[in-house]
Formats: sequence, structure tokens, C-alpha cells
Amino acid sequence: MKTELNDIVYKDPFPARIGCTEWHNLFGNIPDEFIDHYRYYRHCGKNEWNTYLYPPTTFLIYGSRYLRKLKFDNSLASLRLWGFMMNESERLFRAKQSGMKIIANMGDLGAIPPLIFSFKDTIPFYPDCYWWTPFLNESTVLFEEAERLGIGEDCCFVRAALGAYSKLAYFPEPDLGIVATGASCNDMNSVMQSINRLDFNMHWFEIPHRRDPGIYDSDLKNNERDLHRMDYQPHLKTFVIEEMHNLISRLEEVTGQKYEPDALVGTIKKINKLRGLVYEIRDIAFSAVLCPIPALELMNLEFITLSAYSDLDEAIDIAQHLKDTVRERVKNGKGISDNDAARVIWITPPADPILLNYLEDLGGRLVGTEFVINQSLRLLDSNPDPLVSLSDGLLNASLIGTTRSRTKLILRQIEKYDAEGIIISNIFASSHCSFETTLIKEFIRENYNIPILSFDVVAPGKKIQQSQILNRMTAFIETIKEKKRS
Amino acid sequence: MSKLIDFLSKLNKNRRNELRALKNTGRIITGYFCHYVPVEIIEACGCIPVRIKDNLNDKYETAGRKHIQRDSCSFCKAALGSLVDNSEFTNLVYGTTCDQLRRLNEHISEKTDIDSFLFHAPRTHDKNSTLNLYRDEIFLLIEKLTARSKTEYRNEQLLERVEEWNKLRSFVNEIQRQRIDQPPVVTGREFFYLLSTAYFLGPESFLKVSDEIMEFIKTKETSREPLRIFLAGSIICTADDHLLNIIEEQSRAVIVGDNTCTGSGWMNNPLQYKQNIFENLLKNQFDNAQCPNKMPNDSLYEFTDKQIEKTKPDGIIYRSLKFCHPWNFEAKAFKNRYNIPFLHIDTDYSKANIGQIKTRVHAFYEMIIARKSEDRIK
Repeated sequence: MKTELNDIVYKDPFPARIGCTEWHNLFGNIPDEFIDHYRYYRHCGKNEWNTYLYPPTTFLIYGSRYLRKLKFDNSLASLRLWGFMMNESERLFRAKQSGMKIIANMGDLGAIPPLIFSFKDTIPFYPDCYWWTPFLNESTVLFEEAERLGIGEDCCFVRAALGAYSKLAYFPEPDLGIVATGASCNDMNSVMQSINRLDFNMHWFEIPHRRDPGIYDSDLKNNERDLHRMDYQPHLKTFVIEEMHNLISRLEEVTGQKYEPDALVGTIKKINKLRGLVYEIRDIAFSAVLCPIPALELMNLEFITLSAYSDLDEAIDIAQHLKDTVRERVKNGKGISDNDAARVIWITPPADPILLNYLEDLGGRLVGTEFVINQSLRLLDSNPDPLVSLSDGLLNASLIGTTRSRTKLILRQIEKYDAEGIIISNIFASSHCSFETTLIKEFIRENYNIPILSFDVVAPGKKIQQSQILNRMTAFIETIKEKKRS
Repeated sequence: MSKLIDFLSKLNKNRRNELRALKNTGRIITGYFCHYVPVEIIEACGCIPVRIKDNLNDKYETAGRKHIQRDSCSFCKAALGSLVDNSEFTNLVYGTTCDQLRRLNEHISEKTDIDSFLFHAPRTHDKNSTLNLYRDEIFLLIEKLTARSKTEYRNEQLLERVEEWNKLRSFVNEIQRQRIDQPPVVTGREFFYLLSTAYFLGPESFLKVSDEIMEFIKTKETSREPLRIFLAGSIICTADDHLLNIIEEQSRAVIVGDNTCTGSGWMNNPLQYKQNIFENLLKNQFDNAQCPNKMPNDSLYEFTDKQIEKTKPDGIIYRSLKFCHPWNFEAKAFKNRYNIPFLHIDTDYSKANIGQIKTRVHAFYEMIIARKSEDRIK
């Protein structure tokens, strides 16, 4: 893939997964003009501080030591994505310094940020996503802080968000925290309850339980594009709209601005642009003969849909760059996987990113995910009242309904992308995993006879248990390949 | 064995037989989880409410473990194991107060033929939107229950049921008041049995034996100066009998107050009614649940503050069930809030750790006694 900037051209090397040191060396080939060009918060102009294109070694030196063990895609677009994602903490502090309002979202996983982006100079972000930090930093500091505040290891890794909130070294003090409760996990609720006791400015947003109406009218054959659709009862939408109005009053108070429906319509267009790009990249990647982009980058990309890593315009630009790269690779018959790679769908995002590296190391490839953020992947409806679209989006969430409805999302992908195996990476002591995993397996087996592997992701530093996961994944991929051969 | 518990056990046994007979005649026996579920409405819909918490034990917990993972709450595992094994219920009702309960519903629906209904019990309050949702959901509950019982729901019937339950609440609250006295008139174990029986029998049957119960209480021998213990934490059910025994054995200590999912808070709020009974009932349920999963859960602490002030305990024993997140993660806040000796026991229904719990409880009591002696000397 050639990336052009004015008359300057950078050409990606042959697609491969490379280590930190290799990226460090490769980075020397990237013209300075590119480093200067890729910026976040472009509306702030060119400043010393708002570039983000750095090799992984830069973030390694800042503390993300785990990066030295990971493998990365070697394209410029993927490097942009990594730099942009890893730079988010710094970006939030810069936003605060620049006078923007910082809104922490918790628990809704992508449903509410479009509303926040519609307020001028107002930035959403997810403390929930700091659950990756203990792994990336090879440090238990955030878990220890959460434990000091009463939430120990019987809670899912999302307790790192409590540690981060308490320390306020990972993001600045939010102007408002929107905490989504109701049909959400117990562990997340406990984390939010504890954060509330730290005396931050909070707004509680109730998410209703989505009861199965009993009939699924969104069957894949009639509605191929809408892999992400869920069905729900109409009175729930009325309720969510009311909750949106409550939230709007609070946002108006915090930002000092009036809610503008037209601004939200404009934001929804941008959000759909981002989600559309992510959909297309995933579809190209999952359908291609050779997988054009590694699983880890695909996860980073999927999570860009939550809050655009706090900069919507730049996120869209990066997703477009990545789509061009992926399309070009597929067009040229290039990829990072073998022809006979085991086609795997991954359920629940692994807090330990190296597990996604293992998939390809062992001869597998990703052909689908259910990373509990269905609500942020689906395109929002173009209803004249944008709050109706937002509410509908929220009611498509992965975890607010039954396991059967969540499994439906997986079954559609198995069918569409010919999956040969399923990996479920459980989060130990998470209230949904402990109940869902056995049901998901049962529901999949009602329809498909494919191998399913489930395991608990282990906490940072537990090397022996992690090696057991590697052994199990090895046997799993071998089983799939053996099945293919026979 | 306490004479009162002996008496109550017989009542429970008879009631269980009576329910079986009623079920055979076509009456609807509705099992329900959590006190967010309004019993008066279940009755007004022609069904008989029975809270699911009795008959649970460690064997059922192990049985439930076959269907859900080990890192799920012991109560849910035991309830699942019990209901899959043998159910005396026609249908089940759940509120979404706890995510694990919400998900338990689906397991039970998949593995048994019991009809079930899960309604959204809002966690946030002080706003019309969530009250409106709660109302919508209770309407759906009524629709579901009346369809099953083929009975028409009427507000007059609801009012009558509310009046009956209020009489029961008043009676239990009177015992609760006397429980605070020194020496306490009933042990905590007796009180939990009493409360459980009251709910199991329902107002009419239970109040018929109220005089006999008061007689047991009046003639009861009490130890002179037991340590006064406040019990807080996860649901207390039959599987916890050994725990209550350990806390109160040899009459060294008595549980004088509590805040648990099934304790005195359950009877705490007689309904102020007369007009618009349905709305008042909703408001009462909505505003007064002392649930750790309320967001924020200030009402949990407001209730506990009052209880602690009234009961003046020497120590707090805080029992959380393994992987019961809502209670487990409140332990620290409880400990920090009350300047009272505090013991946190995080356990399941297994009896394998009885010895360890005994040792910890005894050490806790010795520490309290030593402190009290020091205070006297000072």
C-alpha cells in the first residue's frame, strides 16, 4: 500500500506481523512529513504536542512494557491506529488544558458518546477501557488501588477503572461521569458505586433489560448487512428516550450549551461513517482468502467505535486509511495468514492482548467477534428525531438481553464467514461470563458442530497459567486443522 | 434446638404439604426471588407467592455448578441446582436487581419447564422515567400472572392483600422491636426462622399462631449479657443455618439487628395507603428497597445507620456469599462507615470451612470482650 502526502510517498513493506524492535527500525523509513501531518484535535492547529505517530517503543518507554512482547501489523495505517490509541491518555490531558469538557462514560459501551460529541468541544472517553492497562504496563498498581478501595480479585479486570479514577494519573478529572446501570454487570456496577463514593460529578443512566420478543425477524438471508440487529419491546425505546432527555439536561448544565438536534444529526452521520468503515474492514478481513490484517489490530479497530478514542474526525481518517490498506492487500492477494488458517470467531474481548497474537502464531485467523459492544458496531437509524436513533442503538447492546439473543449475533457470523471454531475468553468473576459461557456453547451446538474453546484470561504476570492457555489454544487449532484435513 | 424453631419448623413442613396439595388442585404457586417483587400483587393476581430461599443447601450448590461456572454466586448455583432437581413451583418471577439473578432466569427457563417472568426493577430512583418503566413492567407482570391463574386483577383485591400484609409486618416489627432489648427476647436464628415462616405462610395463616409465638417468646430463658451482633450481607437462607449457629452458639452472642437481603428490612415498610393503592405500592417498593445494587445505594446505609443506632451492637459480622458482588464489594464501605469491631466472612454453602469460621468468630468475640474490658478500666 502506498500512502501519499503531497508529493511524498511511503510504501508499506510486504504484509507481516513484526515485533517492537522491527517497528522501531522500520519507523526510520517513514518521512518526517507524515509524522508532522497525522495529528489529533486538528481544530487546535499545529502544535508541538498534538502528533501521535510513534513506534511502539515510544509507548514502551512510557511504561507499556508488554508491547515488547507483542507482534504488530507492519502497515503505516496500523501504526497510526496504535499510536492514536496509545496516545489517548495524553490526549485527554491536552483536551482539558485546551478548555474542552471531558465526559467519562461507563457501562454503556458506545451507545451514549454520539450525544456527547454533539456538544461543541466536549469529549467522551471510557475508563472501562483502562482494564487493558495492567496488562500493557505489566503492573498491578491499578488493581492494588481498587483493592484498597474494597474491590479485590473477585471482580473482573474492569476494577482497574476504579484504580485509574482514584489515582487520576491516567486521565484528568472528568467534568462529568455518566454511569450506565440497570441491565449491566454486577462487577461494573460495584466499580461505579465505589467511584461514586470518591465524590466525582456523576449522572446515573438506567439501561433496561431487553426481553426477547420471541420472534427474530432479522434473519440473515433477508437482511445480510445487518449482522448486528437485535429485537426489543417498543416501550423500552420510550423509556430510553426519557433517560436521554434526563442526560441532556445534565450535559447542558455541565457544558453551558443548549442541546441541538441538528448537531446530533450531524454527529450521527459521522458516527455512521466510522461504524460503516469498521464494518467494511471487518467484512473484507473476515471474507478474504488470506487474512489481510491481524486479530489484535482488528480488536483495536473495533474498539475505536466506542468513543473514537476521544477524537472522532481523526478516528474516521485512520479507519479510512486502514480500509484502503486492507482492500489493497486483498486485491493483491496478500495477507498475514496462511491459506489454510483455522477460521475462528472470538467471543468476549481478551484483556490480555497477547492472546490474539497467539491465534495467528498457532495458525489461526479471526473471522468474527462478539466483543460485547454490538451497540457500537451497528449503524444508527436515520430517524428524524436523532434521540430515537440513539435509543434504538442502545437497545441493540450485547449484554442487556438474553444469552440467546447474544448468541444470535455469533450464529450469524458463523454462517456468513464459515467459522470453523469458537474461542470464548472468559473474564474471571464477571457476572455475565460465569452464566453465559455454558449457554453460548449449548446454543451454538444446537446449530453447528464446531470446536469451542473457553478459558479464563489470567491476571498479568501469571506466567504458568498463561502457558496453559497457550497449550490449550495449540490443541484447539490442531483439532480444527485435523478436522479440515479429514 | 430452640422450642420456637421447633414450632416454626412444623408450621413450615405443614405449609409445604399444603402447597403441594394446592398445586395439585390447580392453584398457581409462584416462586420469586428478591424482595423487590411485590407479594401483594402476586396474590392479587390469584397466585401464591413463595420466596425461593428455603430448601437450599451445599448439595444443590454443587448440582448447580454443573450448569454455571464456579465463579458465580453460591445462592444462584444452589437455586438452579434445586429447581432443576425438583420444583414445587408453577411459575417464577424475578426482578433485575442483580445481574446474576437476571441471567439465572435464562438457565432455569432452558433447563426446566417452569414458566418464568423477569421484570426490570430499576436501580436508579428519584426520577419519573424509572418509576414509569417500573410501572410498565409491573403491568406486564400482572398480565402474565393473571393469564396463568385465569383471574381478573382488581385494585380492591390488592388493597385487601396490602391490609393483610401490613398486619403481618406490624406483628413482626413488634418482635423486631423487642429483639433490641437487653437481653434480647429472640435469637437472630429464631428471628430469621420467624421471618421466613411469616412470609412462607402468608398473613392469614401466620397471624393465627401469633399468640402461640408470643407465648414462646415470653417464656424463653435468655442469657444475661450476650455480645450484641449486627449481621449484614448477602441473603440468609436455610443453607446458612450453621453460620447463624456459630454466631450464637453457647449464647455468647445474639444477633440483635441485621441488614441482609432477607432480614428485618424485608418487613420494614408498612405501606401508607388508602388512595390509589397501586401507585402507592409501586412507590413504596421503588423508594424503600435497602438494596446494595441501588445506584447510588444511599438508602442501604440510611437503613443501616438507623438499625445500628437502635440496636447498639458490640460488633458487626458481615457475611458475603462467594461471588455475590453487590455485597462483597460493599464490605469495605461498611467497615469504614461504622466505628465498630468488624468481621468479614466471605463464604459459600460448603460446610468444609465451619472450623475456620468458628475460629474466626471466636477470635472476634475475644477481641470485642478484651476491648470492652479495656474500656471499663479506662
